[in-house]
Amino acid sequence: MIDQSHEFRRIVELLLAQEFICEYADKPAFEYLTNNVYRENVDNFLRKIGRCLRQTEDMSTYYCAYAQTSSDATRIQLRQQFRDTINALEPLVRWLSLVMSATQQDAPLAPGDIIRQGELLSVVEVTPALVEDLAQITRAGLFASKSAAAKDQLSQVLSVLCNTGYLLRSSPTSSLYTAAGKWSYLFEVLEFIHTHEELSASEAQDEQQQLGL
Amino acid sequence: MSVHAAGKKVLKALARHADIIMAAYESAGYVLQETAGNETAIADLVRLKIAVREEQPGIVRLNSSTRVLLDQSLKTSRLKMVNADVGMAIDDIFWLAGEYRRVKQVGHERDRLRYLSELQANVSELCDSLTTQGREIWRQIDSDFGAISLLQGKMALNKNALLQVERILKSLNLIDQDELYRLASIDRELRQLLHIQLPRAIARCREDLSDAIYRLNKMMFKLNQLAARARLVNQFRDHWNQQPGYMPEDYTDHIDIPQVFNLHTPMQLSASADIHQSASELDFTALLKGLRRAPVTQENLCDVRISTELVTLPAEQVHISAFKTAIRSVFFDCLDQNQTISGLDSFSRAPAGINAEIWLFALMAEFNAMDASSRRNFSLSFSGQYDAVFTANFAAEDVLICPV
Repeated sequence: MIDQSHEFRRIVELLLAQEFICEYADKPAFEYLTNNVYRENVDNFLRKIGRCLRQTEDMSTYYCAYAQTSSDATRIQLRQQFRDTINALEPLVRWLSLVMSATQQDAPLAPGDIIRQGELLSVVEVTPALVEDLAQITRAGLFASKSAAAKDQLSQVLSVLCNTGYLLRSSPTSSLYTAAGKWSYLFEVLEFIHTHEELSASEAQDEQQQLGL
Repeated sequence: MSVHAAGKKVLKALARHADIIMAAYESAGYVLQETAGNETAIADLVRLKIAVREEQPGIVRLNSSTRVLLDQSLKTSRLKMVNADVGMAIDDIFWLAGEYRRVKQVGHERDRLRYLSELQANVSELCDSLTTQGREIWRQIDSDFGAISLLQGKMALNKNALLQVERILKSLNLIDQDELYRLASIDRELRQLLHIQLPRAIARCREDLSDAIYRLNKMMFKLNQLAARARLVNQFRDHWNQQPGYMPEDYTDHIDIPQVFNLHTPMQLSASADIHQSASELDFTALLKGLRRAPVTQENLCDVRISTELVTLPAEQVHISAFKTAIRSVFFDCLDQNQTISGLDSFSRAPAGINAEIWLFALMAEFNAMDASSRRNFSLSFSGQYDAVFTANFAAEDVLICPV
């Protein structure tokens, strides 16, 4: 039997530490928050300290947000958060694209998907285009690696993704990785930017210009 | 068990129980004759879905797929083949029921039994077919269109399954249930088939398919979402390829920061432990264990010997000063004479160098320092006067030691 007060404390601490709670990252915590009463308790507690509980649109992940964003101090924090998110966007998107190509899938990584490091590496190593893509991702930024070997670069990428909560590893030596619910949050960010910056419209214009030339 | 092994098992069962199967195939209504000797064989056939046990009237009949297999292999033709299409199968049932009633009215018992048997087989086959179709849809759903890994393939299969379900449901809606009731109302055996067996199978199939539609739509929503996400990834990647260094605008500059960018900053948590919290008992125990496990440094192990010898201390004489003796004498005299002694009057006893103020304070201090039993014998009072203006102020001029 789960000690409810202990679980409550544990979950609140996780949320305040900016953890994303999904069924793959922490099933007991996710199930706890699926209960309406417990979820409200957590949300009420967070609201007392100016935070609130949020859920991604696909209902797969819970995370903590500010209850009010009007104060200057909060806006400064959010600005920093935004910069971190945006700076990580390009490497993450390129990584998703790389995985889609390597696994020959027409769907991107979704929460619960499994990545096998060995399989991925064997495909990348025999495909020059993927080797180049991996090198590009690890040249600078989020996945920056000094190594020129694809194996090390891949390890670096997977390690960073684990540290940032996008991938889960059952043990430090395991070569199996599970995609976490944080990807759902990333897709919400991409969708928002895509809608507000009309990326598809600008691409269509570019294509038309190219056709005109 | 692999598909290969499972398939071989079914084929072996067909061979092992060939006599029972063929006897049922040739009998009216494809019913397996249950005897005391073939119970296990029939149970085996039911388990492998080669035959089905009907709830009412509790008989075992060959499965429609087994019958079709034999029909095709033997190239036999039955009176009326049930078409996979539900509408046509129902037409056949109506036709057979009509013929059954006609021959029954004219009293052709042999033909009546033949029509009844065919009708039972057709109804059973249709029920079977409906169950199989529902099961097939659910098999696809449960396996998540398993063999197909590509999203587009899964979406196509999902759409196909949805169309299939809708087609079957449409066919079921075309069944004239009132007509079925009317046709069977005057005959007990027809009622069993058309009032109970067939409507029950239709209802079950409809229920299965309604659930299947819900699941298929849900899956389709998820597949569409994945497809949209794949497009997003490709569009962003292409955008960065075309415009290297592209950065979206800073949405935190907006008056209302979009909710999607409202992400709480990690908070450093620090707190003191609640030592009365039973849930933390294990943590505390671990902490305590850790504390005890700390190695004791070598220096602390050096013991210091303490002497146990009894030391005889020299007797010490307490010297009482002349000033204290003079103060005490005032209290002794007060007791001896049993009369009040003025502090100022007794000042003459004070040793040299002590002024009147110190003398008076020393008298008060002696009184206050007495133990309770001694103090009980005296009381202090003060002579003086109240201030003319600040009447709460009393200016003491002398201390009086009074016997009690």
